[in-house]
Amino acid sequence: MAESFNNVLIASNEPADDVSLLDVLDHVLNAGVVIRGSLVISIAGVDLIYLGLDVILTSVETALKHVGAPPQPAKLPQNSPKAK
Amino acid sequence: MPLLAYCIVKQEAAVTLPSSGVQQAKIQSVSESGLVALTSEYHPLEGADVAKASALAFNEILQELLQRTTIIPFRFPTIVDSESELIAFLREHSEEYRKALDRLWDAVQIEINLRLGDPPPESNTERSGTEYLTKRHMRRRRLVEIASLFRERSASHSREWRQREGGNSIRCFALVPRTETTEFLEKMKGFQLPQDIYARITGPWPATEFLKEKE
Repeated sequence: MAESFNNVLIASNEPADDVSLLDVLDHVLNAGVVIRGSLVISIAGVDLIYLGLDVILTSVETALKHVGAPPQPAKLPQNSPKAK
Repeated sequence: MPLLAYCIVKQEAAVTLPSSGVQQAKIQSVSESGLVALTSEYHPLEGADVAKASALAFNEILQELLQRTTIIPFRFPTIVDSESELIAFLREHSEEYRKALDRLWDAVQIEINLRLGDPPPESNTERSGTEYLTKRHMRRRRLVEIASLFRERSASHSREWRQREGGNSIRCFALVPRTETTEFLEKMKGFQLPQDIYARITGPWPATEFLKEKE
């Protein structure tokens, strides 16, 4: 449950409302170690390589970084720990 | 079967695994060089709604583990073809992850997102572009000052502080001892902000912003 004090909102990290949901998605999609970044989504039994999952679910800030970016390969090189 | 990777923990933490993970799959562990990576079997996703549900389930697992120990999360969805691929990854990065887990031990990340709202209507009286830019600069400077005040106010309950500045916002990250998160948040409640500045505080999260040592 979020609490608000003089413009200070202390939000829980439970995805109980839309804003908290965005916080949670922002963290799981944008923060943490990366080995490679691709995902296969199947629609009607057909596998599609879905390169832009993070663009759809991620924060506006990150989505903007992807605008105009070239398509990513299915496998990315291994990376070091990567912060947000 | 592809594996979904959740996070890395220290082997000596001997963490109890959650009973099931994303897609109700059994959570397994892979050990290498003093580190343990948690995984579960993973089927290709069916549509964006399922992807969202999986991302939320992934977060639940991380939060459950975060309550028990210090974790380095993988970004969702990190999928590997086999355990051997993950073992090779852990072996390659074991030193940096062990160091990071030692440094971040028993700490979590609390975030304070500071944002400039619309200026009060009575202040919209600029007569020139220069005046507008000057006012905007002053409002941004006030945001930086407020970030400093938050930092000072919470200093007794945070080990480290980092921040990133955006256009009309500043994201502040505090590394807080797990046992002091309640006190940290209590300190924030009494903060008096100007009418046109908003703060949104979230956490605890895994301390991803502090994975790399400060340069």
